[in-house]
Amino acid sequence: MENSKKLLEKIQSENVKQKNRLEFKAKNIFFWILFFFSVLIGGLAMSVIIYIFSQAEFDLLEHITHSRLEFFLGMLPILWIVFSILFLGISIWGIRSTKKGYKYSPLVIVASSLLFSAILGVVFYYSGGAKNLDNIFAKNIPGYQSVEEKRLLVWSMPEDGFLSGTIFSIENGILLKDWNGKEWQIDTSNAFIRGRVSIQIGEQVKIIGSIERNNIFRATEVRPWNGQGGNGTMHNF
Amino acid sequence: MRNTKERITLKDCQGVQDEELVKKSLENIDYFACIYERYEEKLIRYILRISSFSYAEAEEVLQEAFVKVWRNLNEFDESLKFSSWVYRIVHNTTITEWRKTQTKGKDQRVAIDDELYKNLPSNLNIEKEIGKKFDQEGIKRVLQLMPEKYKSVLILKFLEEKDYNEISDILKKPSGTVATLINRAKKSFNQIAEKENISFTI
Repeated sequence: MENSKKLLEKIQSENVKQKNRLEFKAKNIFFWILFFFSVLIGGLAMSVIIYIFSQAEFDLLEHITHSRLEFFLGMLPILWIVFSILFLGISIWGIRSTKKGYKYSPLVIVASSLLFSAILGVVFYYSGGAKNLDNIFAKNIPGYQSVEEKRLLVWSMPEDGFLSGTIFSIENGILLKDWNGKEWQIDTSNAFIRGRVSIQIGEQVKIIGSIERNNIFRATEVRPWNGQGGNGTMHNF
Repeated sequence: MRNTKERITLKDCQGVQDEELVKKSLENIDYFACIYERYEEKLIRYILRISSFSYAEAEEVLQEAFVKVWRNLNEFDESLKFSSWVYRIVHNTTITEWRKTQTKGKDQRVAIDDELYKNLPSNLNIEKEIGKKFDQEGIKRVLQLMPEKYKSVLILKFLEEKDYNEISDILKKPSGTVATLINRAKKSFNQIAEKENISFTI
């Protein structure tokens, strides 16, 4: 028997059905959506990474006397880096699974996914989305610490030289109330005051220094609560 | 007017483009036989080249591959050459089936036809470089030892005479990767020949 006839008989006897055209189209669309969705999620993750790095104070490492590595790792947005890599991987898989996806070189796919995610990340970051996302995660994910919470923890260790709170009096030197409500007298006679710090009542500040006795804290550096505060001057208050 | 019960013959399909035959096959399965017959010889030869199947086994593999072609006929995209698409399905089916037989411990053989002996060394510039004629058994042994991906690109490029875009569509790899694979395959061929001390008759 001719092989072509044998083939047709096989198809007919086994009742081989053709897959629907829509099925192929839907599959193709699904992978494109998956690609765009992954790039979007990657962009969100990237924005939080940018936000966390912009708020990170890596220079504090020089003031840390123990558990430097732990402190350093605690500052890194490991969860978000993992998210970024994961969704980068999904986006690559997504586009490679589209009908013509094989035509793009892996390098082009990785570079374009990263570029799109980075652009979206910057947009989300500047629109304030990254901060909101960080806070939403902190509220809803047990064990997740937002940038604010981490900062609060780091700067509430006066025994280790990190103190923060709100200035409530400047009449007889600086008086500061920390986040637990404890009042401190701050000695800034040899302190470096960062440029964006304004010594006034109600100002929230971070202070590097050491406890002199009881509630007296000798400051070596004063920073604004948000960020590092730019350049500054030695200050004798 | 043609009786609808009358069987379509290869003669009816002469001069009809593949893409047109695909459309006709979707309406009348008899046209699918034309596609099969048009490609049968070429594809059996391809299966034999990339695997060590016997002729009868290659026919079976081709039948299986064409059942897949039929099942996925709606997927065929006219922006692609039909021959590339059908080669892709046959290639994948052959490799899958061939791997199954390898796990069963079947001996590797490479079916080398006259064309392969004639074309491959000259295309690889081996004769020119070495100034010697290739030993036929040598080619066979080198191909047996070559990684599957290299063997496939060499066969597609030099024996099936596919261009980079077609190979890209068949193997589902970017054109740049295909070019790299071909270069590596050439190097691999020479290295294996050297390493195995495969003799070339003067």
